[in-house]
Amino acid sequence: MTHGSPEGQEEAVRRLLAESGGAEPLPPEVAARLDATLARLVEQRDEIGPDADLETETLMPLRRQRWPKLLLAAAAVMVAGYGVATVVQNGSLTGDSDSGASGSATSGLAASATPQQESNSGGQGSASDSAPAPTPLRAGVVPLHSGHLTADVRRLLGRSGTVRLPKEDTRAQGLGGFRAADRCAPRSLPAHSTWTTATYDDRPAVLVLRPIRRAAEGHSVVAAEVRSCSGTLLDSVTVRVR
Amino acid sequence: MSDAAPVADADLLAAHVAGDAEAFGLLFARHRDRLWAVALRTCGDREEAADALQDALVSAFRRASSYRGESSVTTWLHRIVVNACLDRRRRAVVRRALPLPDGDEPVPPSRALSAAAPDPAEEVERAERARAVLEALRTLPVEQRAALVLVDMQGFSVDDAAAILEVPAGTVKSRCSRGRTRLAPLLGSLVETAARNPVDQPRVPSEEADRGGAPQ
Repeated sequence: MTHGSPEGQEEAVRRLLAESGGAEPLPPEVAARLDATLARLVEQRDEIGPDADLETETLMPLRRQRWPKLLLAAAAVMVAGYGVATVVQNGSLTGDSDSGASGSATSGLAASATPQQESNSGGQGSASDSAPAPTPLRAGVVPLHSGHLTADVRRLLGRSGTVRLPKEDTRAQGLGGFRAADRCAPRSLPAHSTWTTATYDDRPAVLVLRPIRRAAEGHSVVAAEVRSCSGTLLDSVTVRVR
Repeated sequence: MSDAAPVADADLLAAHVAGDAEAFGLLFARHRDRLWAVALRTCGDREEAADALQDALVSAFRRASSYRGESSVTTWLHRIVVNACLDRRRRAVVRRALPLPDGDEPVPPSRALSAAAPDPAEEVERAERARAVLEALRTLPVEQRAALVLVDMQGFSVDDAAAILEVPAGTVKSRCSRGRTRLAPLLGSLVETAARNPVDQPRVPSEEADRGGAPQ
């Protein structure tokens, strides 16, 4: 086998690949994101029991909220109001530049980091009843599609990070009388995140947006998760915002 | 990993299925750097890899009870991660007509290279080689890329890679061979240099060293 032979070249490529391989430390921001995801999974499972099918979680009542959780949720609301506005550039993820309907979107963001306590609570969570009502980004239903989710989210956020929510999708809202704003809301949200009702491939869903600071690279990154109304993760992407 | 308390991967997974709230976190933490490396190199993009790894985490957590012990837990976890990457790349093909997101940037070279290179100049050269290799790797079809990442970069045996990718071993060999052949002209002078200087280079540590039993 000479170094010019196909075998020699293939072996050289193999060695170059081996040199470039091996372990790769998990970046802290990714580790934090995975830890938060795992914590949510564990919490969900704790609520419905280890043997339960997580896909059926909407059929199960939420566990009674405890005061520490309430305090954390309240703190998250306050932090989210600051965090979202600062992490995403230039006060981004704020108002709807297209509709001109203005300021309410900003308050929607700030107030959104609270768990859903609606139909699933079944009235048993008296402590949680005093928590701030969950407020979506806006009342509209954002149409999302698995084939171009990144583009959908980018369109929503705009190049500058300004939210550009489309006008209400009458087609989506007309699906069998479905009104996502009435029925679909996240059961829990990570800190600094916000959400809006959506359709995902024409099915009711929730879009959760969470900014991730990437100061070293001079821009921000928004993690977008699409969840079913039962909280199941359907899809996720990350989108950069300059 | 703690030698003082060597809990097997399979035992941790079983504990998770039985309701232990900590077990899955311990299991995932044990492997997450290697899972990240596989996701990063298979996806070829840092944000995409993070999304894929999160998908895989959720999937593995929820589907733990489907683990039958027919392969090692490591193999099972890698399979889920690779599938998450493949799913994402296939979906990306659908939306290829749309503008690429800004985040689709090259993966930087492995930081692992710096550990054993005391000479800064040599370190820079290695980093440049790694950058070129990873750039070229991104041009391959994702199936070939996944095979090369597992076998040549992560040190899995062909049989283990076949188990992860759920294809015959011959398919893995074929994908690796075709992938290397496609990479050779892309890497040009690097290949010529490497072919002229066949020094003994350490192989990538095998994943078989994992606790949790021998892979199938």
